[in-house]
Amino acid sequence: MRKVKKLHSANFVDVLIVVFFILMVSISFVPLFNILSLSISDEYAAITNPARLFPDFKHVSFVAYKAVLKSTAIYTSLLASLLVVVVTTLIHMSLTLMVGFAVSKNDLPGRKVMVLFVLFTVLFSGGLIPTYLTLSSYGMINTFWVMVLPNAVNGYNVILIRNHICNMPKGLTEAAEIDGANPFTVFLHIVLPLCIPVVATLSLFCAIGKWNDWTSWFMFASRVQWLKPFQNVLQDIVVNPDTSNAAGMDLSEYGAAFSNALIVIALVPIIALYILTQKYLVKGLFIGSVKE
Amino acid sequence: MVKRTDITKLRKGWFKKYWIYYAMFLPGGLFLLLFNYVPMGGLVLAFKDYWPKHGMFGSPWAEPFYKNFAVLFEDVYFWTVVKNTLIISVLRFATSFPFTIFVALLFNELRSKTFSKFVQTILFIPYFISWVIISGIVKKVFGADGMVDTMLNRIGISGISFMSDDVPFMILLIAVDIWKGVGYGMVLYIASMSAINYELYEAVEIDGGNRLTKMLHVTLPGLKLLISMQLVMSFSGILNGGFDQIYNMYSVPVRDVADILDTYLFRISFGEEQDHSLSTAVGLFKSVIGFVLILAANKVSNKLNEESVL
Repeated sequence: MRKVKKLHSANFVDVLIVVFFILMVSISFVPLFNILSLSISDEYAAITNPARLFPDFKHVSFVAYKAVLKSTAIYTSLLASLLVVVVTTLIHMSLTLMVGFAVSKNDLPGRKVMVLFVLFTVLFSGGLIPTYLTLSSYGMINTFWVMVLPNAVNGYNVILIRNHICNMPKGLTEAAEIDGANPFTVFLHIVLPLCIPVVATLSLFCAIGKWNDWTSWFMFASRVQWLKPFQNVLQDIVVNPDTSNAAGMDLSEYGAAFSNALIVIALVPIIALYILTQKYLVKGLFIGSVKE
Repeated sequence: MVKRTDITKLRKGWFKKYWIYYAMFLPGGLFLLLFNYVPMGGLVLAFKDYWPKHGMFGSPWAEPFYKNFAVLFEDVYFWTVVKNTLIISVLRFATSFPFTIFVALLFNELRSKTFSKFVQTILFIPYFISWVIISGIVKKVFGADGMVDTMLNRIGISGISFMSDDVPFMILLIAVDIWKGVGYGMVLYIASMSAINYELYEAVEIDGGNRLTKMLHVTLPGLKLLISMQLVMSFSGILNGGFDQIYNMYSVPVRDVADILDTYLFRISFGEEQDHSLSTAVGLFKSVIGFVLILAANKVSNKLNEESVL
């Protein structure tokens, strides 16, 4: 008798927990549904009910999407963003991996100083204006390089990779060294293949971080129009439609639907990429957070 | 007694053995030197009067050398901005930190694998969406004639303007931040939970403990290291306040409460009221306090955990 009762109370708690998460998931998605339905509503449907979660199928219109897809400013900014993301991620990962491998060698003379040299950059920074003036003295302001070179090495990621390499079974690398392989061969053929999950995760975080970055261009390259990243174009149209000239486009004829459609278009690749790579992301996070 | 020739031999061998490691460190080290350490040297500008013609290092020293700080510390608005930053950081921390742990503990109790996978996937998504897009969505949904405004009007509540009234804006700021971060935080805690020794749970079961006992006496203590790590991080970031979010969400009507150190710093660096020396002074102020806080917090956490977080 007692056992049955206990089972019942457990089930009740389970139901409560499930309800809690259903609520959370819905709250997460209600705003997105609202934007999505408004983006395919014609003006009549958008004005009569701005709170709609589902489109009124008698008043569906794809004009906004057509307008977005016709705009060349969007395509150039997407290409610029893509270029910056790919180059940054490649530079970032190769430098960070090499530094991480170097400081993972336990008996390397001067290793402690090297780790401190890396770690200190995480804890302390020169700040905005000194960074700007430094980049300016290198002649990098308003060039492509200012978008990809600063922050190419990230101290956190170096430490993360070092910890990961240190946790690998020592026998593997030692055997190769005894066979006369040089450290670079060991790095390429033994360490790197074992780092693939971590590298995949860090690359994704780096790429998404760069894709979402709007400050680099805004602060350091705002005179180079062809480099203007997608986020900055979005910012003009979606965040500050009143104060900016919205990337030189006349948006009045499309109304709010244009920016709604743009938000949906901006969301699709991020969500798709996330769902495709979810497995790696979570696995990499597990590796990073568990100290052994 | 070691002969001189042996030492040279040893040195040669030493270099031969390790030079590739140094060569691999070199490019990354050079980047850190050029893009991190040189700007740190540029912090001397905080004690100088910036003359564009003479550059960062050639500009003359300020008279007296702490002039920029004197100007800054006498500025009432600077202290308003510091106060706003502290209030926002503390509010963020006091809400999102316990809430994330609460959600992670509940998530751990979910029984259906498929459902928990689904929940995790959905809650993690906002973490990857940029603040530009999120602010765009928030401005539409919470703005005048947006979804929330319309719904509130329908049930007879009107006159609340989330984007331009102080208190509603602050609530919105914190809520949106939780919405964006809760999925990521949850996954971190769950990762940490998976490392908890299963025998501990079995021991509680043998002692007749229920789910709540397990949660409070095994799971929560098992998260101690991660929790203190997160504490150290948020404590040292107390002067940050979230530039990306606030810059994209705030507007003139809510500046009194939402203008933080970083938005202020941004305006005096690139905006209307440019002053390079003053801006460097603000940056130095922020960096030094952040540095001291992270070391202090790390020391305290070491004492509690007997293991270093850093």
